[in-house]
Amino acid sequence: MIETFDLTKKYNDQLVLNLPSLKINKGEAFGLVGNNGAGKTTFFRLILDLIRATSGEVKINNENVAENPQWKKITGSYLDDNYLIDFLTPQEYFEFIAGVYRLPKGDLEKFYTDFETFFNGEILGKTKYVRDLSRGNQQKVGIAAALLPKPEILILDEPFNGLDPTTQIRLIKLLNELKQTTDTTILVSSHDLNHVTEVCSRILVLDKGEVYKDIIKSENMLKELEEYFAA
Amino acid sequence: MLLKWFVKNEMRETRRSSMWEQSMGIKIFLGFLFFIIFAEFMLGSFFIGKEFDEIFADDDPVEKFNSFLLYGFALGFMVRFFMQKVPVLSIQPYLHLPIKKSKLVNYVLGKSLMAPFNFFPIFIFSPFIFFQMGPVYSGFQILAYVLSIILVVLSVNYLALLFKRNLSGNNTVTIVITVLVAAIVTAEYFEIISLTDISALMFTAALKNPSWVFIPAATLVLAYMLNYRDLTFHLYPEDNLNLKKSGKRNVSDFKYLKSFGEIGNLMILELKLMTRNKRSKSTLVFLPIFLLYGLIFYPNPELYGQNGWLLFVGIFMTGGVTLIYGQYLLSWESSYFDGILSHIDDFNLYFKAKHNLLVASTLISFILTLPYAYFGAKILMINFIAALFNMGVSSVFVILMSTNNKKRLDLSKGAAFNYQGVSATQFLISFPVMLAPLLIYLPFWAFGYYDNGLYAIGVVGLLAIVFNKPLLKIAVNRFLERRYLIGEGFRKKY
Repeated sequence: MIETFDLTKKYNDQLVLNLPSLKINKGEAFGLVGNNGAGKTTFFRLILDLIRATSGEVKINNENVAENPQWKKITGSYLDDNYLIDFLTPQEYFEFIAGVYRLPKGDLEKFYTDFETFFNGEILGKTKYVRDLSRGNQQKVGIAAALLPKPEILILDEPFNGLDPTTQIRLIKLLNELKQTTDTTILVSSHDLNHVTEVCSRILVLDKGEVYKDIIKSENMLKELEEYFAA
Repeated sequence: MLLKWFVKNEMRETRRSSMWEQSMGIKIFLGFLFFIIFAEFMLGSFFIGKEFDEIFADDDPVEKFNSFLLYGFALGFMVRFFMQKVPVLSIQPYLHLPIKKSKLVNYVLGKSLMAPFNFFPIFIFSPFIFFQMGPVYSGFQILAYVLSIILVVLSVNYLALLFKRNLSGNNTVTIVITVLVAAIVTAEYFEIISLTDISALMFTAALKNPSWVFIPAATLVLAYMLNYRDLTFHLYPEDNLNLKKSGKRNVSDFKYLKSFGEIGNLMILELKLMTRNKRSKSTLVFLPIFLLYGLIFYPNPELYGQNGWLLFVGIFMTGGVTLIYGQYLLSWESSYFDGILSHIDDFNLYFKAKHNLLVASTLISFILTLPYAYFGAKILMINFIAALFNMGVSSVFVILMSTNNKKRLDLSKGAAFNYQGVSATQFLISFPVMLAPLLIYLPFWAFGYYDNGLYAIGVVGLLAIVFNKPLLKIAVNRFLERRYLIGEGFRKKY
């Protein structure tokens, strides 16, 4: 589904990401971990065509993401607050996203009911603008908007950051349900090893832009990870 | 020492502002422009100072000069109220540190002394004092006069800050001030009350008896103390961010555009952007003033004969939104541009939505200028031609130029004197739009075909409207080439 070919990204001659060949399969729950500056966000931005690759390319469904925007219709993503249109109310924002993805009207209604618990009564039916919400609630809006179009590929950068414990648990549950009931390819990065191991069936450890380890889900996955980060 | 650090950080902030990141040629051009303006200002005040006794030959020059001062300071107050920055947010990073509040407050208040508005009076007063007062009054008298002027300037500085902090963003206050000023000017005009007399009395007093300096000095101390008290109480960031109380908002949602489908969806977003953010609102507020531009030119019979001038006025009036709003077209969306980049798959549609709104703004402006037909059918025709040109050429050109801008804009800050996100290309953009119609007109004018020259501009506009699709495509392609650069620039938050 997602493939990299000789993908590198340099800033001022400094290599920040080098993924010669990585393949993420359809339906995979793919976790990305690594310390600060490991290249996690850079990788996501390259997949989403937000930055230009220094060399190589990313392909989604065998199409170069930089050349053919077809992938946008099947991809939902939330990286950071550079996504949020903060002068809209959350519901207006969802309506806008639904409009961009050309969703039929009923979808939005269903989405509101599906996400009622996730929003915990703090997002919908309010006349507050997104900019007046707390950081955690803004994060919720962004994540929900990524899920709204029922994407085939879901990309979330540090989604657990800034969420309250209840919502963290709900998000894990939500992602696991998505994994079981649909064929969604999920890409999640996180600093919290417990969270990624609970969601992901495959975990890639990035170290200074290089693949350090590519672990398929196993009993001692968490232990392996902890050993790396403790060192 | 603390002060040293404050100043150091302040200088770093200024030096590292992305405003400086522009090409040398543009820097030189801008520097030159500012130099010209400054030089004109200097020469003007020099001339007035030197020739004052001849301009107002019947009156005592000093008394006459003083009679204007109260109005001058009132004007200064207004300008400061609308334009001077309240220097408070810059201390936010220091609030949690073990620094005494009083130190921070004094620093903030001291910093406001560096506002450029405080230095303007030097240029205005110096020539006058030198040429008109020097020969007549003693050094001691002049010293007292200068001192009282300085004290008044600084009092105005602090009073304006005090008012601004407590009242800005409050539209009723703006209206009340405007009405008050209009009332005073009217009263002066019909000689009901005379502020000029009061002004002359007040400022001449210091010359006659230096102990009057005591009054402005007391005002300054009072203004400073009020500010000090007010700031100490309101040193929490939330007080200064103008957070609106939550609760029911009257949210306009432009739902009727929904029926236009996807492009309607994008246009709704743009309209909400315009109407819900401080920066864009304060940009658009100036537009009604543009529409009054014709009043300066049309009643003047000398200019009336000159098609060039009338055309210029027409372009300006019907293209206001296009020029002023359009130049930031992409920057307006900088705070959520990653979302736009990763969600929008058809940028032709995205730019078409913006184009539609620019064209609509020209149409509306044109309709609003229709009453100018009072000055003759020719005005109507020229404005119509200008509107055609703006709808066809300017709209696309502005979109093309907006792809040059990669500086992030903070929508929650006001526009006046706010150069964040503004680069020199923004100033340059209006030149071609203004000059192009004149260039089309010029060859016709040279051979005496005045009217045909006007028609030619209309035809060019019309052609551009007909072929707007391929023209827009040029802009879209340029955007797609530059999208990484633009995205990267917009991600930078400083």
